[in-house]
Amino acid sequence: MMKNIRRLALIASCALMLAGCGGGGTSSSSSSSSSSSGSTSSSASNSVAVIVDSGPAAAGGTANEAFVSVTICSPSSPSTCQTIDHILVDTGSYGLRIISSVLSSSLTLPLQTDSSGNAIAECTMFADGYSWGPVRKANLQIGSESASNLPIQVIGDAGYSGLVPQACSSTGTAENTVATFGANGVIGLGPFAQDCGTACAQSANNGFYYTCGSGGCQPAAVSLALQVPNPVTFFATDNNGVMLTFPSVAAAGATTVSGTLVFGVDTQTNNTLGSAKVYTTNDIGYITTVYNGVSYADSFLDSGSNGYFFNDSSITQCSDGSGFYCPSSTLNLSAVNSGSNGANGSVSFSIGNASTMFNSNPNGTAFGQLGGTNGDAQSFDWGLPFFYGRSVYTVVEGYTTSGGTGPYFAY
Amino acid sequence: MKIHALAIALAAGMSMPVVAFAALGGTVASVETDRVQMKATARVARAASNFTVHELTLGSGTTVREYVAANGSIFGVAWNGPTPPNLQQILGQYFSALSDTTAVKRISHTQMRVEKADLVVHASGHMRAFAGHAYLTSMLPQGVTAADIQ
Repeated sequence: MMKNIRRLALIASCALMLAGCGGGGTSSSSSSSSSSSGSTSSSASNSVAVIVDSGPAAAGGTANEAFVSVTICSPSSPSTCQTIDHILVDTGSYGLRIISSVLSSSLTLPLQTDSSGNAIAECTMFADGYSWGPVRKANLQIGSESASNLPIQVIGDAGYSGLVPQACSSTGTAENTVATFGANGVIGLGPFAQDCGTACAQSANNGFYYTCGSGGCQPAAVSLALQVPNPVTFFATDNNGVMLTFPSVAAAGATTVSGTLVFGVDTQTNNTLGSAKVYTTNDIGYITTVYNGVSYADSFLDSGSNGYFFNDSSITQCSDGSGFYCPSSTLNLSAVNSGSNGANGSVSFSIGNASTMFNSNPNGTAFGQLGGTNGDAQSFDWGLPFFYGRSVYTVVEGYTTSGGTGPYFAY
Repeated sequence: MKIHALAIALAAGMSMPVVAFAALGGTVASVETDRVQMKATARVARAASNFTVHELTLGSGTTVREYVAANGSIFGVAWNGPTPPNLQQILGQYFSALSDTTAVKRISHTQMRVEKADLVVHASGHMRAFAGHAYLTSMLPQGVTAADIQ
């Protein structure tokens, strides 16, 4: 445990000192290849540690953000690898994205190109901003799983930062650095196979994809095979989804929380669905939540959200304008989730006073009772606090398990 | 003046800088500017009790609704769909508030909250699915609340 934290700290400081870390952050794969060949005795090789901590130093402190480390290798020089910590675990998006500044200059990642040889670049949109950068191909190692020539997005890539299309920058504010993004990258593990899907294969004005040539970057239709995929779909095994498990967190919060990300659902003894109930999502990833007698059709389970985000005008908001809730005493609440498959079940949760939580536990990074308002009047956003004390499964569209066919969440 | 500016904007095409006038806080005439700028495939208006909603359907599948008071001023906008719309276009002069670190509460990638003087912007969503609204509190018609702008 202590060793693990020290290792993360070392890597984080490395990410800040780019010049001095170019060589140090990159290594021959002799260690990683020996560890994978030597791991045959481990029954849990399809799992990796997840940590909730204060995030990369450059992000200035995060709360309820869960991170993994990933190892990226050059497809053309597979022994040249770099392990990158503080990649946000996100069941609300699809695909691996890494901030350019944390990548070693000695790690060569070829551009993804269209049939004319033009580079493919992407505008990844979030509710609070956008991230721009080219799609590049990388070999990914995480636990014992690997993906070769995996399309990933390199956010903030210097060669493309001057080419951001107006159609992209006009959707919000830029999040192209560790400081503005809040992590060294994100691994999108939600229940879809690509970040955009068929909409981007059929239409050029899809908002996501552009091809870049001498005339700049123009909107482009991009086939499914060239899009940034959910990385698990590129694994040879355990490729139908993930299971994310966290222990419970005390009401006062915790300085750090260690969880587990298991690849595959119903593929090994450590990722069986068991008694978990399956909630099939609609074609854009929504389930329905009924709270206080109101039905919210735009609801979702999102490990990348840092609180329970829902609207209840009877709950006092914090005075700082953050939209977090600050009730005078802890509220014990419940809601009912239902899936497109007709499954439904009640969820109990608690909302505490965010200001009190933060002030009385200044070193805390995990708060199980953090909640706030939602910018979509039709939405209940079940963020990371929902994941504490549970195993939550996501199964990718089109994959069938004992519990049904994805896209679905189960818990 | 506006028509002249629009003609220049159209001639300049996609790569031109932002048009100076836009929906929020503008007049009903700017709805048409937004329709053209965002290449909306449809525009439908429907009347509510004391305002009119103009709904634009964009090529991306996203819909934008602009809320026009009886005096012709646009007091609110709302959107939902697979990608956020051109917020620079529909927020106009208020777009810069999204990068004002004193006004924006960046609490999660799935939630955006801006409250700056008269301006309120709330947005939510995740990959493939977004929704949000923005309005000017001083311009809300009598009896109209944020809940009406969805």
